[in-house]
This record gives sequence, C-alpha cells and structure tokens, in this order.
Amino acid sequence: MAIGPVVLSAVSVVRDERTVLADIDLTLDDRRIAIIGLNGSGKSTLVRLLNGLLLPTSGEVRVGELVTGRDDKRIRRLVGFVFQNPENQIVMPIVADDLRFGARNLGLARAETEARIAAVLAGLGLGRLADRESHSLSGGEKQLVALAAVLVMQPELIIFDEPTTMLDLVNRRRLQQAIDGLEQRAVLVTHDLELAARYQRVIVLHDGRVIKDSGPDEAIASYRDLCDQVVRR
Amino acid sequence: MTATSVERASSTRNTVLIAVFAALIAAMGLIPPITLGIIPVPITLQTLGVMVAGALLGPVRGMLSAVIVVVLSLLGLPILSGGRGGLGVLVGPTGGYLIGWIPGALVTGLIVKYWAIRRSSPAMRYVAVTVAAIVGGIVVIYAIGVPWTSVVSGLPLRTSAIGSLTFVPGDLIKAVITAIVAVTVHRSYRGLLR
Amino acid sequence: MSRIPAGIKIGVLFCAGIGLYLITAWAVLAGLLALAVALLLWMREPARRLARPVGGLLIIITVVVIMTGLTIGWQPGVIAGLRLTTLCLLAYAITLSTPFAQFLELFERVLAPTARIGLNPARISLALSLTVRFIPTLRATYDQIREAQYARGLHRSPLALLVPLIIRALQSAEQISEAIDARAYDTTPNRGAK
Repeated sequence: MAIGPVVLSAVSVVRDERTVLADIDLTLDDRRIAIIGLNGSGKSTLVRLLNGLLLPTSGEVRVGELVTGRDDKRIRRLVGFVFQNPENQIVMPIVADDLRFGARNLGLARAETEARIAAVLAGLGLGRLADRESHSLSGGEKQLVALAAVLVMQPELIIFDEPTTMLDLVNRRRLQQAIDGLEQRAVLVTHDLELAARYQRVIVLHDGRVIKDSGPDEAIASYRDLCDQVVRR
Repeated sequence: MTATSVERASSTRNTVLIAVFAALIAAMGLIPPITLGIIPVPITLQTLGVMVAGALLGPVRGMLSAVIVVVLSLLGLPILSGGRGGLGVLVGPTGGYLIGWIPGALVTGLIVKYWAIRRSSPAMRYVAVTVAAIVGGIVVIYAIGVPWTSVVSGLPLRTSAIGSLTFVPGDLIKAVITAIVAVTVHRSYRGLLR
Repeated sequence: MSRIPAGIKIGVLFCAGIGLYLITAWAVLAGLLALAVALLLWMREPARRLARPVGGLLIIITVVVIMTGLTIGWQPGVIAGLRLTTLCLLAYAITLSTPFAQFLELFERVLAPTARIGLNPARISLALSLTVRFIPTLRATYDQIREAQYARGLHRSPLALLVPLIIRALQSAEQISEAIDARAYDTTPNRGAK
C-alpha cells in the first residue's frame, strides 16, 4: 500500500508562547527530501509532526488519508523515525530484543519477526551484533541498529532527524550509504550540506517558516546567503 | 483548541521516567560505597537515589522506581551497593532496609508533592523537602529495617535500633542533599510532579 | 539445577526460610549448612563470581554473630549465624543457576493476572527492560560528568555531580519515550496537554 503524500495545511506550533512553526503549507511526496536550517529554526519540530509525535497547535497534518492525532496508530506503522541521539532510541538491553520490540508492537508472528530481523541485520551487515548488549555498541553501531529497528517494521517513509550529527566521518558515510540504499521514501533533517546536496528536493527553514523549497543547488545557495546575513548582523 | 503546547502520551513518559530513575538508583549503587560503623549496613548513595526519586517523581512513580530496583536486585542483578544482589539479600539481616525503600519513596513523594513543594518561601521549601526526605527516607526505612534485622538475626530490637543509629548522620546529610537537588530540579522542570 | 523451573526453586527457598527458623538444634543447622555449601560447590560456579557476594555476606553475618554473642549469648549467636549463612547460600545457588531471562519470564507470568485489576504486565516488563538497558548508560553519564566537574575543580561537591546527572536523566527520558512512541508502542497523545 502506497501512503501517498504527507500534507501539512496551515500548520502552526506554539510552545511556551513562542511560535515555533508559523503557518506552514507543504506537500511532501518526493522520494528523498532534505530539510536544512539553523539551530532553533523548527526543523525537529516539523518532522515530529509527520508521525504524530507532536500535534500542531493549529492546522492539520495528513499522511495520505490519515490524520495525525486521530490515526497515529496506523501512521506510526507507515512512518518510521530515526533520532539524533543513538543512545536514547535503543530500548532493550540486547540488540535482537530491541528489533523484536517494534515487531511486537505491530503484532507480527514470531516466525515473521525472526525472518525480518535476520534479513535486516544481514542487509546492513550487522549480523554479528544480534546478541550483543546494546550499551556495549559504538555510537555508529547504535545508529545503524536504530535504523535496523525501524526497517524491521517495514515503514513506507522514514524520517531522519540529524542522524549523523553525533557520528564520526566513517560512521557518517556508513549511515549515508545505508540511507541511499533504502527503497523507502526518506525525509532527512541535516546540517550536513554535502549530504543535502545529493537530495532531489531541499527545504530551508528559518524562524519557523519555509524560506526556500527547491532543488539542492538553489536551496543550499540561499541557505549560505542566510548564514552570511546572520553572521554579519 | 487553545493549546499552547503539545505533549506525548503521558503513559509512555511515565513508564520511562520510572525506569530511568530506577536505573539512576541502581547506577548509584555502582559508585563505590563507604562502609563505616559496626552495624552490617554499608553507607551508599542508593538511599539518596530513593529519596530523590520520591521527591522528584512523586509518591506513585517514585515508589514504582524503588519497586523495580528491589525486584531486579532480588532477581539476581548485582545492582545493590558493593555488587550485591539475589534472593540472599532479602533473607539476610539487611533485607528490611531494602524492602523499606518502597514505602520510603512513597512517603517522601507524598509529603513533597502535597506539602513540601507548595511552601511559598524558598527557604521553607528546602526545609520542608528535607523533612520529607527524613520522614520517608530515614524514619520509614528504619522502621522496617530495624525490626527485620532483629527478627532475622535474633538480635534484640534495642541493640538493632541502637546499632542503626550509626547511619543516621550520613542519612541526614543525604536528606539535605535531596532537598537541594529536588528544589533545584523542580524549578526548571515544573510539570514533573503532576 | 538450572533445568528446574524458577518457580519451584523460589518455592523451595521460601519453605527453607520458614523451616530453618523452626529448627533450633545447632548440630542439625550445621548439617544443613554443609549441604548448602555442597550444593554451591556442586554447581561449579567460578570462584570469582561467588567471592564478592559471599564475602560481603560473611562479613555481615560475622558482625551479627558477634553482636548477638555479646548481648544475648554465644549459643543463639551461632545458631543465628548458621541459619543466615545456610539461607543466603541457598538463595545464591538459586540466583546463580537461574538465567535472568527465566526470572523475568516467571515474573511476567506471576503478573499476568494483575491485568484484571488495571495493571499492565507488558508495561511493567518494558519498565524492567528499560531499567536494565539504561543502568550502564547512566553510570557512563556519571563518569563523564565527574570528569568534567573534576576539570573545573568541583569534584568535592555532590550537588555539582547530582544535579547535572538528574537533568541529563530527565532529558534522556524525554528522548526515550519519543523513540518508544515512534515505534508504534503507544498511540494516544494528548492534544493541548500542558
């Protein structure tokens, strides 16, 4: 089942009397979308709207036919999420058990679960990690395991919120490769312009507004302009 | 809808808070304990963790954190101070102090949530939370620990009680630390007790 | 011994706990202690795993025996010592011969009926797993903070360690609950909750 586009209509988020996102209209249907912007521009808030982790103060977020806040149970089966901090998204003491956690939430049968886990771990070259204790993994391994845990659930869209920020260059490349190899659609929040440049569509956020939504060259150029202005000010 | 903020399902957050504070209490046991006095109870930061859990998370969640630590240690995880754990701890002379953590965190949490943290003057708040930690973290825990030692070992209640006094000074310091930590953290995390 | 179901082993320990207190003849108690020692030796556990818990236990029990001896007499002291040692060794034998996962399974089974009174066994088992998962993480966080504060000359202040540790723990709790919800665990966010 294809989920269709994710559509944000007139979405605002106000938190502690501060406007974090102001009146956003977006249709996200491309295979690869990057979101860039300064710290505090609202990137993390925006992507948390896409699977109902956050609900808009006003406006509506639709994932295909589904609406966040109402259909979150179904949305979270379709939209996976990889977070910035590798440490705090692996929730079980043993790696394989962590992969089972999501599968159990989907209500998958045991045989199906084990088959998926074996396939995903093999696909990412992580087979040897299955029986390791989660805390003993390196940062890069943790982030790949977090991706594996999402892939076991076979979502159709995967959101990445600055997944490479806490990784060294080698692990950054490894994760990039893994993302490139995904069949799924992906929305990626990043500070890594080199990475963003490889995406077909790049959205620039500033002060809770979309200031550019275009191909990578144009968007990155306008982001560099913005940075120059901010620094000069 | 006049929402000014949006928040996640509170049940998941509560489960995680309970678990993280249980992990905190357990982690404090891995910090080397100080053993002093003649009574067979090592001084550890763990009771500090129990007081803090009650004072920060409130009675129910604080108590559940303590329950988890007790359960995990009895199941054999070496998470009590000095790497102890297993059913041997429960049937040993100090088992009561361990069991006492559960009502201890509960009582600390009750007094903090419904009385101490509502004092209007900041100075009173420190004093009130210290009192809560003393009642929950010392009086309640000793009220179970002291008779337990005497039942298990056959020591007269008086001897067991007098012996336990050795630990009161250390525990009083922990109560004061609990108050400073709890008041400071509550100031930046206002919704924590709700 | 590891093939015996955990439930039966705990049942045996429970009965032994009561039985030992009914026996007052020191010769019989000494015999039972010898049996418990034999049981532990027969399990062929590496000495290293036993040394710490058993060593700590023996110190505590020695103190109890001496105190009982000085206050009420040496015969009750010896009897209490024999009882405690036997019971604790038995408990260690059970703990060591039962993998943690087996205990957890037993625990979930025991808790299953609590679903009827509104508790959620799945949630309880998630909390237990999360705690085990995050103990080493918090321990590592503590070491990081201690190093940072040491560099700033603050290593003598428990508050300079505890407050950042707890703030970090609370931040982790937020991130962990997001990660859990995102993996379709809980799906009832509150709109507009403050």
